[in-house]
Amino acid sequence: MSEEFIAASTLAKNLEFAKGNEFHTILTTLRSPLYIDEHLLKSELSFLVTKILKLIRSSNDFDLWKGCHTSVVVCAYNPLILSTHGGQLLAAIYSRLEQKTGFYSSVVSSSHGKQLFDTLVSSMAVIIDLVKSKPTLSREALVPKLKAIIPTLITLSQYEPELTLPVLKKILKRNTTTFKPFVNKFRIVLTNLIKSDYASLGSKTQRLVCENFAYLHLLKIQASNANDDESQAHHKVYPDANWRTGLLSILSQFKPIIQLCEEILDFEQDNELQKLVKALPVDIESNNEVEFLPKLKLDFNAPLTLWEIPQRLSLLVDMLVAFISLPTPFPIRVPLGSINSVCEVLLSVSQKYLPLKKELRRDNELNGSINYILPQIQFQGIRLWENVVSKYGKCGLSLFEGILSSIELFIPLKKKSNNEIDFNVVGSLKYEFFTVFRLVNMIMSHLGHQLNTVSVVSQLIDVALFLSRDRTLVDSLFKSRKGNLKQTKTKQSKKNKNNEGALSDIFTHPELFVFKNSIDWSNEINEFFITSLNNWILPSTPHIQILKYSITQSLRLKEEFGYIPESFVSLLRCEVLHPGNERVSILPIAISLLKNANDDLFELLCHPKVPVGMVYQLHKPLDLGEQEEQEEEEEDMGERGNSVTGSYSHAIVDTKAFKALDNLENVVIPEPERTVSGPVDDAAVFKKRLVEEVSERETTSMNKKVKIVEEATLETSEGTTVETIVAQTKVEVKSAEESEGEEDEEFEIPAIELSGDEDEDGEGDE
Amino acid sequence: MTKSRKQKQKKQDFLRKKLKVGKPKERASNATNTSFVSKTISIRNQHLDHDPHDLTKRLTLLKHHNTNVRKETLITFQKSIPSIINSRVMTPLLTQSIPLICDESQQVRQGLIDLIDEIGSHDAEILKLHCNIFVLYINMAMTHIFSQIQADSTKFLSHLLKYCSNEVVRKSWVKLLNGVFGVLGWGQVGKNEGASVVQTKKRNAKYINIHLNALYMLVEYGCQDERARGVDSDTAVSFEDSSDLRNPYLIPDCPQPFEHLKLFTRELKVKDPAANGTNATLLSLATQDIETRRAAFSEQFLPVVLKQIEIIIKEGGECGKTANNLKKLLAKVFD
Repeated sequence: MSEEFIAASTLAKNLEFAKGNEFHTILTTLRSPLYIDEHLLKSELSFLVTKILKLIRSSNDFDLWKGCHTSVVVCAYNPLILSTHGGQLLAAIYSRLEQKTGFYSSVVSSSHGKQLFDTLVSSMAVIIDLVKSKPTLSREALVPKLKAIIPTLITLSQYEPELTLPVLKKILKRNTTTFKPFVNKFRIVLTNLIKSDYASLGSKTQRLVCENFAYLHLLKIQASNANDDESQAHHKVYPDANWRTGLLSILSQFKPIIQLCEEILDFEQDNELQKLVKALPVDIESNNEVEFLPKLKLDFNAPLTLWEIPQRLSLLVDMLVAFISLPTPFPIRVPLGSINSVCEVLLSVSQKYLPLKKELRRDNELNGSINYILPQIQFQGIRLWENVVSKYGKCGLSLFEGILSSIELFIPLKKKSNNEIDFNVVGSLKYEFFTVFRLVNMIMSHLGHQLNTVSVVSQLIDVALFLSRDRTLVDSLFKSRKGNLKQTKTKQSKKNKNNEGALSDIFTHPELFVFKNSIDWSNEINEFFITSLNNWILPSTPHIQILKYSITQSLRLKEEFGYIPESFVSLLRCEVLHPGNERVSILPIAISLLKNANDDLFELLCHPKVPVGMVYQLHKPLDLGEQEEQEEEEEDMGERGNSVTGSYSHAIVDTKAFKALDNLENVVIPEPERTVSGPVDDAAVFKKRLVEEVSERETTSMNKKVKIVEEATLETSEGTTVETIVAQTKVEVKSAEESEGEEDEEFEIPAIELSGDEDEDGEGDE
Repeated sequence: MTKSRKQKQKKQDFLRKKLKVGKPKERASNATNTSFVSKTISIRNQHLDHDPHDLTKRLTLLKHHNTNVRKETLITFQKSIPSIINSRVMTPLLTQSIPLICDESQQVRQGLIDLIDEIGSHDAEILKLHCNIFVLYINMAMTHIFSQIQADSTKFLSHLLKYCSNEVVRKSWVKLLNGVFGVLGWGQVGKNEGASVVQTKKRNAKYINIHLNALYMLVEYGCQDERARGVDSDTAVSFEDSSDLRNPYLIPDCPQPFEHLKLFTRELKVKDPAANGTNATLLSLATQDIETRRAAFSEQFLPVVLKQIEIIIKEGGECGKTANNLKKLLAKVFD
């Protein structure tokens, strides 16, 4: 291709002074593959690269920024430049980064400081990624520089964890050995982040911190000492030894905190729980890696300090999740059993079965704090389980039933009642219940209908239906309005005027002060309902409530958005297919809701069709027994629906379709049958056999008898006879049999053909 | 100058006539009377084209103040059921005769029972259509202050159950059970047992028998499915009704198939469900399926029933026999 294109040197010259749109245009032009040309390499491209380097090395921040972006574009789209000059560019960018990091505070104080760091780090990361997988290139360009890059990044990560941690994570994962000398320094930085600033980091950054901490353990421990016995030498040193120690040390941190909870709830009431707590994993080794976590300081006189318990548990769960869910180059041994027991213990910390300790002072603040933290502690258990189940799927199959029964502990019940759910508390735990439903959906998708504990499912259905209603915040105002009226009289009139103006909206438009549910919530809940309906026949109360919910919500969403979201369509389909105990399925309602939706399933239900190929698969109706059975079936199920299955002999066919088939038979089959009745001798033999069969079968057939009325048309030499089969009751058969005996000798019975007469008789019967 | 006669006459035309006290204003000489009188003749009981067989006119007689008239009307309707069973008059007939459940006269109530039997023997579907109203008025009768009406209420229930057991049991299981318990004196309003029964001078054994019979039928239809009831599988009717072969995708054969979904009704918000405790949750149960009905019965009502029928069995007599039957049925169903 010899298209005309702008020479790279021209572009390079303009690069220096480009701003705004011009810069964008230059970059876009540089992306073109036309520049990947060896001929250009020495001249144009090297000139371009020199210019870029000049920009990077300039003291002007804007030039630096331009240079970084240009180098990224050029390296990404032009492998020639990447191979030849990639290392140079990388080194240049790195040196500037190092410089800037040294003067971090002064750089950041300027208006574009953060942006600059962002550009530097990201462009460096991109070039490192591009260089990584290529063996020669990485050996020559990257590895020597990594030793310098890593400490800079580590230093920078103290101030800009969001930017640097992803890069460090990748480097740590891939070039673990190169990282080795800096591990301790990095560890110190991470532990500082965890100790002091964890709560102030965003959720993404928190996850990154935990993941990096986990990856610190990728390094394998040194080989065993010389002091070890030779008898121990055959023990293989697992590659995940270090990883496992980290994992176990975090696990062991759970026990002390749970023991703290014993100060609040009286664990002694429950022996099983005490046993479980004792059996929780404890780190025997003295150098616990996670001991850097400060001890919790709790004070019952300042109840707000109690909130640190769930916060600490949340941190531990985050770190543990990082250990069990990150990809590693070696296989890891995960102690699922211990994790399961930790979760079980966490979920048992509830006031349902354990009373509060008697020594506690019962004031409002303390009770309020306790009521708040207990569900949160349980929630950490649920979170941990959710991660385990989503990552390990069926590996934990044996644990699933236990998980479901523990979830029942999470559902808040009203005090002094056995089975009534406290919906006020449920409303405040909406986010937590979202996680619960996600977990339950995952478990149920593995277990299916094998599940035995259905009681928790019915409770969860109640909770789901309650939480799916829009939440009104103003109900309490209406309830307590009478009290307020009395109070306002004593207030000053001016205050009244100020207040009343704001409050009027609440009373005139209460529907505007409503929280609506997000579509994600509805999707999750719908999946839960679908699994329940698929696997069990629910009692009528929850079933009817689910039906009402699906119909009303689908209609509302259809009016609002013009279409019904997919999860609701699946829910409607499921309800139609599994009517449960209902006498009538909601098929007509569903169809009218999904009028224009062109749903395949509903079309099939409304317009059932007999597969066309079936007609040709019919046996020739010589076999009387089969025919009798078919006719019996036909009469028995004359009022049945139109579901059509595979093989003809077992098909439940609509009478009309059957008659249509008959007519088709009459059209298709007569010709072959004529050959059967050709030679007279054969026909004679045929006759006798058929007569015997007829008499045999008539004696053995149960409800209905078939009378064969033969009419011979002696006109045709071929002897085709038209016969009609009439279905009769037992009473008339006797007379028929007598007459048949006389008729047998005189008339032929070649082939038995279903003719149009049967239609009339069949209709007469009905 | 004196005026001439002619002039005086002219002046008279323009003189204003003096008004006289107590007399109305004189009419002008050229005034025309435009008043008119119209008369109508109304013949109340006589209509043109009177059809002696037109029964719609007789419906209002059901509310006549004379007991005999009401009774005669019911008998007339009963006799003409075969001819009118498929006509339009059935619905107004039923809607206007069902309130007679709470009628004061024994004969009228008996006539209504006969009418219901007649309708049911011809076409039970019509009764199924009006189940809601039936249950409403039966409930009213069960809580009526007149003891006679209260005593007769279960008769209506048993006759209704004969024809439309399925519908009634599905819709109003708990309500009817509460009502029967109240009539028997076993119910609990607050903590006062027997508070809902109007105290009669003598607790008539005959009535208790009828009540027990109604309870028996309720339990039989409500807690047993067709197979357990030993329905004859040869008869064509039961074959069609048996739920095993029912296809939920066909056009429904029961009236108002989606009524229990309550899509178009506004449910009153129970203000404080905690106050009523289990009763509120019971009433809000949907008892469409047999399992829920059995569970509700065995949790809430069974202990009371078992305790009370022991007492009645000991007393013996007709009531004892019925109570014994009930006990056997309960043993069969709940074991």
